[in-house]
Amino acid sequence: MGDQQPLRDRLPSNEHTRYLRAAEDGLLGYGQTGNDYDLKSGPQMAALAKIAAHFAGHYAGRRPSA
Amino acid sequence: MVAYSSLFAGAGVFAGQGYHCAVTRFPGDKLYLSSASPDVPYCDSCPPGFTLGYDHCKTADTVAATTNVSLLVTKARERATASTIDSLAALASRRVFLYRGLNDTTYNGGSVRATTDFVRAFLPDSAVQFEESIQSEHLLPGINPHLCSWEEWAGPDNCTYDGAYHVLSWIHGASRLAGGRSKIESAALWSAHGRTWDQRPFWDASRDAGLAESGALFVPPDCHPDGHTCTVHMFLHGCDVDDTWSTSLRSGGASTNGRSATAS
Repeated sequence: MGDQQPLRDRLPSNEHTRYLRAAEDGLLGYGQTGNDYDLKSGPQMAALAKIAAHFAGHYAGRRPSA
Repeated sequence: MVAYSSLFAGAGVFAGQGYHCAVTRFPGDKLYLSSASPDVPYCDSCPPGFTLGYDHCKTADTVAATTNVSLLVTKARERATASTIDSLAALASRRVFLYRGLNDTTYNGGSVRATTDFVRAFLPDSAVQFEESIQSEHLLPGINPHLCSWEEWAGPDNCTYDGAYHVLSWIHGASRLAGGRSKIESAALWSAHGRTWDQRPFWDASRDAGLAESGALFVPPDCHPDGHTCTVHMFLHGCDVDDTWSTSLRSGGASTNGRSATAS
């Protein structure tokens, strides 16, 4: 499988350290999207909500209970 | 989870910053000419022509003070009152797990503690778990052998703590994971039950959502619209993650712990 090859073999040594990162807050893009980035109407927030609602409808069938 | 608290049951935060923190000026924050910090074009309470440094909440000590976290709490309350985010009352019944590895050099200790303080302003203490005793670096720790064969997960405790298990059991309850981890190797699981899907229909093309055009979807075999009811997890990766993303997604544990449909 291709992604089993260590990154060290595929990247210049001074670049692979920047991949020493995994999940953070995941909310990218505030630099590009302005002051609505964390409002419901912000393009990323609205998209994430639509995606969540879409799959919840398919596989959970309901909103989370209290 | 803050903006759409009516929709999300909980959150797992691996080294994340608090709501609105990135653009909030705290007492003591260093200011930059806007031209010198173009990645932060908007700043709350900065004088005209000035802004904050990029990612100041990860590294600056100014956010850590409880009095400063209250600025974020106040902002969230103002927005809920204005209905630009969901009512914050729903958060009282949510559950949140936060994590920062002791060897994390990207987020200082106070930064994630401040995020925890923000969450605790809205959730009961019993619903908030902050794990900060594991000797890992800045990553999502896991125990999958394939994940741990990567050099990025080499190092103390990067591969001794099942981060996905702890998040899922905290939010949904350990009984939901009583079946244990899947015995099937994760690559085989994904080959049989994973697929990519087109995310573009979920946003207005005229506004950049900052999301990839395609996402990955994992649906366990006994999770079907006409059968077993499953929970849905959204797995968002961190800044600049690229080559390690598929490995983290497939082998990080979200698809091998219990029954869940994972969209990312």
